[in-house]
Amino acid sequence: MTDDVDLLAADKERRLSAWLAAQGRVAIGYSGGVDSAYLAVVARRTLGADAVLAIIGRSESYPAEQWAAARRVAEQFDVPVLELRTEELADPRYAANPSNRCYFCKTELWGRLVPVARARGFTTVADGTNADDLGDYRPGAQAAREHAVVSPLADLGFTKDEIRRRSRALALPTWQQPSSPCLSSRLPYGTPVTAERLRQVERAEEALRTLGIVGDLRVRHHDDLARVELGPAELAHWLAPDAAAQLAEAVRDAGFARVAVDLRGFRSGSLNVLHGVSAA
Amino acid sequence: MTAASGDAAALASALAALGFPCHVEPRSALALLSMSADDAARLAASPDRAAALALAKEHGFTHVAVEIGPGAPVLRD
Repeated sequence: MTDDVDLLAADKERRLSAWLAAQGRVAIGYSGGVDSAYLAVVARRTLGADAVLAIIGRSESYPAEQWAAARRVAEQFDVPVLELRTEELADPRYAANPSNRCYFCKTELWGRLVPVARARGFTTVADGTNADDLGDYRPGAQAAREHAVVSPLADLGFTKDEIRRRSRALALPTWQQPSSPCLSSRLPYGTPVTAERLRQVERAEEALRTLGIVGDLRVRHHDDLARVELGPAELAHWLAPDAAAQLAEAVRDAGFARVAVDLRGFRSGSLNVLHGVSAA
Repeated sequence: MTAASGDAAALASALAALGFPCHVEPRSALALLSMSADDAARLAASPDRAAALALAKEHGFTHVAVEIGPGAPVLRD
């Protein structure tokens, strides 16, 4: 069974390489996450360094730790990188944090990235959306379509599991990296997105990583309260009195008055559930 | 868009019956539990965690979290 999955994933990678070769030159919206890192590395291997460009959009919603990881992967695999500053927080439609916030973020990202890519001769601009993403609530996908950004991993049917398998086969350090959506995803819809709130979340998550928490982790921002989501297997350890006190102190130092640990544990799209956008 | 709040008093009674006396602060669809540090540890490590989640859902909450730390209010009522 495992061999069959690996064979299927390898076959999809061959088709991905053929698609990339047919494009000639490809620019990639690059965050350094599992999906875009895989796409960028396969593109670099297929097209060579002169015909691929990984473009990072930097803003307050993009964690510094992830930026550093993205640069390390690009350097390790000789992927050319360009960085652009994005200003989604200056857009009041984004800062108001509606449930379609991602649409305004991606509109800002692609609105800056695509013209730069085209000016450099990259007629094809791709993102790392995968087939599993298509079933999620992702208003940002509409902005990608409006800017003619293509999603070859999704189009070829790559699941997240297959991307991780192929990433491992290619020795990408991202193969077992947890998913890492932007920091704004930690704020409930309707809570205005500000640079200070994003810094609070980023500082808290960095502090918890320093404490030794690995795997899935989110610090959800509920004004004075930080609600920490950990992998379910981690809960018993971090709710033991001594560990809980350490965890609470680390999060308080990041600027939260109160700290709580979610009893269910990490779940992707947790705030969509809390606000009735997704089913519980 | 924000989900309605659940029944905090009913959830607190149900959790007490399960062996976890606590205060429940409703924050929209989040139930914020205040209990002793030892009870929080016991709840996280036992099958009662799943039972507590089911009770919260039954009483109208989509999320349950336990407040922690030296300043966490314990059984404030």
